[in-house]
Amino acid sequence: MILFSNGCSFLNNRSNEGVDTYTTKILAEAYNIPLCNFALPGRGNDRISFTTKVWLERHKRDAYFAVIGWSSSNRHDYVTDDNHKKGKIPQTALTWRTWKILDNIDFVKSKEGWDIKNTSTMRFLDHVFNLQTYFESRRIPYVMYNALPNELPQKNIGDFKIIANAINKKRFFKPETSQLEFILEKGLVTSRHDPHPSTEGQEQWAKQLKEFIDANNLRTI
Amino acid sequence: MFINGCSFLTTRPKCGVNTHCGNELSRLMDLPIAENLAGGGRGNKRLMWTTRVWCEKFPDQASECFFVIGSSGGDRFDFPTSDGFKKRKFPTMETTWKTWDPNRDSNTESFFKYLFAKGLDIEQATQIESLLAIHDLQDFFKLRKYPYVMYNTLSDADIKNPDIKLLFDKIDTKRFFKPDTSHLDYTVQNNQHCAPDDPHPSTAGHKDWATQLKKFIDANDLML
Repeated sequence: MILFSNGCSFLNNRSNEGVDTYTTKILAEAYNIPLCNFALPGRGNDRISFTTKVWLERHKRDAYFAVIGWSSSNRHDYVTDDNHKKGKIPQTALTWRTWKILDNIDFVKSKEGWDIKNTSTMRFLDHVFNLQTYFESRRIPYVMYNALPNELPQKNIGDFKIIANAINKKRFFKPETSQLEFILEKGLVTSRHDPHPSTEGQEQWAKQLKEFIDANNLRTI
Repeated sequence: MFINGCSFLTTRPKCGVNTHCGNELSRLMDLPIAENLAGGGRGNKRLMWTTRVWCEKFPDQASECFFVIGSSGGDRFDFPTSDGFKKRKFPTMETTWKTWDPNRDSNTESFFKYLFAKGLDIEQATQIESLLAIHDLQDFFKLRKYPYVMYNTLSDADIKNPDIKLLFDKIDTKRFFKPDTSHLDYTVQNNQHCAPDDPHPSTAGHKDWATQLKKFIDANDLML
């Protein structure tokens, strides 16, 4: 079995800060299985969804355990024609960049009625529900967590609640919080000016995640 | 029958078209329409979201339905609104939606110029928007064991990128009618417009497409 992981910078080394490990690397070592990591710093959940499906469809012959660390729903990924960081992830034919809501607030405000909070919630629920459906319909074992905070459903919108209730919480570690919130609360950041996990922040999160995986027998489906 | 899509699955009375492909198909299949959530001008995100919400909200009805999905254009990016836009049109839904696309207004054109400067590949972006929605809905129907048929109402550009082609080739074509083309392409090719400057199908165009869909459904036993 191979551990496939995807996410943002929280699932990457941060060597310039002396952090040469991350949650899924620690997990793969603990389970003594090879790691295939597709996480890319600065990118969002559109890229995570698409590249995960492409990789797993292309390599169907292998057995995978997928670990997804969700990025922020305010990051809108798009495909580029400028080969941005091409080669960083091998065997992929697409390159990606990201636009963020807060950096483009004038454009968003020009769209009458655009509900920023609910769009973010919808996108998060959509990504989670879709990738869970993908994994479950193909019997690929998986676990998910929020690397960055994501909007949980607003109380007054029943449609959001419907989809939130349909999400498989048995395979979602601590859906009410994120690794970012955990490291900020515990002071496990690389530095005051860089809210990424320290080595200890990665190890503690990985330890909890592993306990969750083992307790729920998530490496099988 | 449950229907979702864009304007190609709605009537167009101003052009004298008081039917659509979904209506015609329901008649041919002798199935009453339980719900039609098709919205003119909307894209695939809304289509996918509202279909799944409806199924989760009305599971008993959903389990009795045959689903007809007309995939919209990938250049339409849907977002929920807080202004109750056309809320009365879809009383079973608690979200309302609008859409931005590259050519809709000057603000959007400016935003796209900014994205183009940052390397946006618009053809690939729209192909991905459509393909993700198709796969996500096919997976959903398969997992829930809901019978369905899909087709494109609108077309995206030809796929050249191998990663995108790989996912295009993974579409369950047994349940996807003519994935290489669209109802719009067919309408244009066969001169079935509802009016000279309006590329929406005429009554005859809707009936023609529905007849072909029915044959495809029967040939592949898609009611099961």
